[in-house]
Amino acid sequence: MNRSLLPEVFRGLPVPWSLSDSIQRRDALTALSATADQRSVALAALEHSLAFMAALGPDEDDDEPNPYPALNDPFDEAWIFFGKDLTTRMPTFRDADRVSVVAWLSSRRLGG
Amino acid sequence: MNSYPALNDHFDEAWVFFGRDLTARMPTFRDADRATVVAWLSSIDTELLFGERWAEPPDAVVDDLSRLWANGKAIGLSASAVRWLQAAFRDGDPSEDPALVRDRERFVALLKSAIPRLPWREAMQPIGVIWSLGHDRELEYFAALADDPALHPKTRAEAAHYREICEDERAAREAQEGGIE
Repeated sequence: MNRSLLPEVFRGLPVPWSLSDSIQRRDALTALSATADQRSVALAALEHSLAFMAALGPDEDDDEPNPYPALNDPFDEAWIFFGKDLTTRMPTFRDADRVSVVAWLSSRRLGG
Repeated sequence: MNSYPALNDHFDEAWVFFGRDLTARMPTFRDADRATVVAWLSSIDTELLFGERWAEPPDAVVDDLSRLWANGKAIGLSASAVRWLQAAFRDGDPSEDPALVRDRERFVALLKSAIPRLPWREAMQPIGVIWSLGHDRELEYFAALADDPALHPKTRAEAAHYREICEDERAAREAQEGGIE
């Protein structure tokens, strides 16, 4: 049985939105005037593609090995609150060294 | 876990050389169907793409390849639409085209509503675009996103990055406004 690869909302989009080749689509869109009518088509294309992506689920590499194995799950949760503080200790790239990282780690109560 | 279990390691290495050829067989989304994928698989040397040959391609391979292609196209379409709309709102003049304001609000609302549900990689472009259109007016939005424990850590980290930029922008603006008084 033949089956479409994409839902009808994608198949029904006008060219250039429904062009499969991303380079051809990009070139054609560069020449497309941003009139109110064209913006409506673009917003519809966006709405359908966002909904499609949301249904894909997590990225497949979400459970790949952590590239920083010594940084644990509590770290992943907490790092966004600490990053700025470490950066303050090393205001330029020239200041960024291992000794400063050790000094910063020693200065904070970091256990979980 | 591999999202496409029927596509082997050999395929992962070789696909970059084959993708455009399949796409050329299905020039628009309307042309994209399973029969064309099967016909294409029958036309190529699958030894090169999969390291093996079949009398006819296994259903699981056709299914996974179809899904991989379709998912890639949906992601590419979204990126195209975001870039094109971002330029339209950057270059448009609301005094000549009043609907720009309404469309821009709709654009930002669509992105904000989708971000918590998107795979983290696909959330990166929308987060940057929301900042480019709103700058520090979006500070509270980025703060809420960065603090939302239900979101992927990478999405939260990206939001925290823009929260920091917005904080700097707001501090600079307030300093400037304070200087004028």
